[in-house]
Amino acid sequence: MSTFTIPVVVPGAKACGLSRRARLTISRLAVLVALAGAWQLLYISTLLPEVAPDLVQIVLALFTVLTTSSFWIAVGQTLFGAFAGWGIAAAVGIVLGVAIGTSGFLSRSVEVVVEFGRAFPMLALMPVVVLVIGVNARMEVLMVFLSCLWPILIQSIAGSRRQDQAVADTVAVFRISPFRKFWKVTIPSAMPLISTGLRISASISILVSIGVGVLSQTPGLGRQITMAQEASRWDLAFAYIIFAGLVGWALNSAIAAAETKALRWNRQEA
Amino acid sequence: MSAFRKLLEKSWLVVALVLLWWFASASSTNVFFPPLSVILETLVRDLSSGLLLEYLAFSLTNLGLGLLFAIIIGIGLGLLIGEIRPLRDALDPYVSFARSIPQAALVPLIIGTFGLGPGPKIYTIAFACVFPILLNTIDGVRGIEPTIRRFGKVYRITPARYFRRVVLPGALPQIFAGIRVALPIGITVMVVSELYAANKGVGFYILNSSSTFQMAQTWAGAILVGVVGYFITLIFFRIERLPLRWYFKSGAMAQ
Amino acid sequence: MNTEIIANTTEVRAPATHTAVRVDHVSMAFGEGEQTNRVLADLNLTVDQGEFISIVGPSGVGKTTLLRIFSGLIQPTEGHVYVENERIRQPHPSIGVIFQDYSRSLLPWMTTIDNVAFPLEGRFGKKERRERAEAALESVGLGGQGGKYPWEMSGGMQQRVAIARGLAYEAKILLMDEPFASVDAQTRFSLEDLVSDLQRRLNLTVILVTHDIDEALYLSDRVVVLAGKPASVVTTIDTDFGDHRDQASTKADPRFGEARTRILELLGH
Repeated sequence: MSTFTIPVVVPGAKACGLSRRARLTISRLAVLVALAGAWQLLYISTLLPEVAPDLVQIVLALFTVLTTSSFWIAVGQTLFGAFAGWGIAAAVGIVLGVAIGTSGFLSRSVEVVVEFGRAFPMLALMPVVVLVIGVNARMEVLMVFLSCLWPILIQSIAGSRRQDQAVADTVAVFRISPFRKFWKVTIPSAMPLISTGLRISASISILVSIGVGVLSQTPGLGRQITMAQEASRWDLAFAYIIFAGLVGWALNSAIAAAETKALRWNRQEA
Repeated sequence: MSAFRKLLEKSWLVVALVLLWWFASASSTNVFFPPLSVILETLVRDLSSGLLLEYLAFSLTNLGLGLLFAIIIGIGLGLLIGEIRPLRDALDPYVSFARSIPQAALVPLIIGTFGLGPGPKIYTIAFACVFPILLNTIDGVRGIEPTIRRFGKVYRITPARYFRRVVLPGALPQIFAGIRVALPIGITVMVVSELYAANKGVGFYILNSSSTFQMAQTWAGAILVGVVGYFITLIFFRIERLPLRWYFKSGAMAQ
Repeated sequence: MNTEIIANTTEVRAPATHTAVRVDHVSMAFGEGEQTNRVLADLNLTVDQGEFISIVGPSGVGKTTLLRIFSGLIQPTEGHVYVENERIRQPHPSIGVIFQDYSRSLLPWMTTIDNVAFPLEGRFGKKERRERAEAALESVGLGGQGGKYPWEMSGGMQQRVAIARGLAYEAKILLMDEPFASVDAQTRFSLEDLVSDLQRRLNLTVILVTHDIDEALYLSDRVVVLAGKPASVVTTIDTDFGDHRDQASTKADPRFGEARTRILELLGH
């Protein structure tokens, strides 16, 4: 099927008889070169702040950072905080959300509270939490949990609320027990929406875990970035940020892959 | 169901939770958990003195401007990238990488370097909010029915008009979905940027009070941020319904 | 099973044992006050065990409502429904329903065999469930295809799976709501013959709701014509085309044509 696009002349795209794959690689590399070149130009023209590193320094820092153990430990600490908080939020959010969603009365009752929880920037509570619990991994996990819970809860409630009449009739006619219905019908049919909630909150978990590190200096990537900035080592800070991005990207891809696999049945409806 | 019953169902839990907090904390002598009455008194006091209002205005202006930049850039780039296939192919890995950068990671770099003024905060918020909007715009453009696209071609509609009358409205539901995702991220980054370093703003109010153990103020600031964040989201949902009436209506009919 | 319900036989006029389903002065109305929508009025019907009856009538007459009452999914506003002499207030274990909307009544996250075996969970062990499900799939001509997902199958195949699910459940009474309405004509004929064959072989009671008069006449022992607002049974037509019917000759039978004309006239055509 041909899709109509606005006629735009893209130089080089049509001229050479290369395979699509090769052209794609070339165009992507070209973007990378253009970005790097633009940075270097800005650097030479002294438009960037004094501390900004040039291209060579950034590339070097990328490699040096990888060889330091402090980097790997920081990645581990950040991921631990993010995963632990996210995992607990997932378990609590799904069970609670589906239980609430199967009752119309409960769903309407919690609506405002849950919406409030989602809109509430939990990091605003961090100063209090720090004073009560202290600066440690437990505090970080708690902050991640509090931030991740709401999207999962909201999606689980929404997912279990939309019950297909045909499915409900089938369950009734074949006299499926409530317990079995919960695990085998309600949860799977809510799963597409729940997994969206899991995906949204996975990025939140990394954001909050690093945010907590930046703000409270709990050990992890956030703290490393702050320290590099304070030492005027932008090259290191850049390297850390790039790797933080890679970690986030890897996590997103992993979740997307798992979702595609587990929810194969759902694609036919899309 | 009557409107009154609906209101009752939606509000009883909120009322119950507030009352629970009120009475449970009423005789609290714990420094960290002052009575809710004290927190609310502090909130009213600092709001009416104008201090907190000024801070709130500062924070919300940053949020608004950051979001505005993000919307303009996100929609503009998104329409182009979504519509032009080679551009989309070339930029795809970079866009998905850039949106994976945890937004809070940029706070020390930008604010640590460029100082306490509003500018760096606005940039950070804009950067954090641009990606959900950009990605959703791209998805929205790509999701436009091929038949509608062919219709545009058959009737030889000029590119400018085609963008404005076909692509933009077609992608609008997704664009709004992107802004909806961006909104809480923006609020969070707003707070984080002020908690990191500021001499103004609601985040500063929270940080400043907690470092001097004025816990009632800390709670008051947090409650204020939450309530304001909630109402911003609520207002956005209302606004969103106006230009998207056709979408909700046709969607409702399809169900 | 369900002897508690059977025990409730103090009702007067306990029906004869060979009755599969009986509805007794059933009326149905939706809504209240001004907006009351009376759908069924004082309906009486008895279906014997092993009988194949069809319910025909114009669309919107309340056929599906009646079927939902038979299945115990909804309760009539007045009157009672008996299944195997038990008054029912909820779905009865002898009843299996084949829904019109097969694509939605099969759970898309389960494979075909899991779908068929699902109602057996808690009644049998895993191995036995699989064997029974496989046997049921075999009998609808889908042996060995249990590993597929329903959405990987054609509409006709999905409807066969739905039938297999009813068989595996050991339903003695199959309720079918426009089961062949959304498949093509060719598939429809073969599904009709499949149901007809299964009904005879397993001595099932089948209640089929359809808007297709030919289908009703071809398959059933008795055609119940529903009409009016609120609807009631206008007439019942016995068909006597024998046990060996086939799509070509049975439908060419002059009596078939007469019966069809009579029903069409009753429905105001």
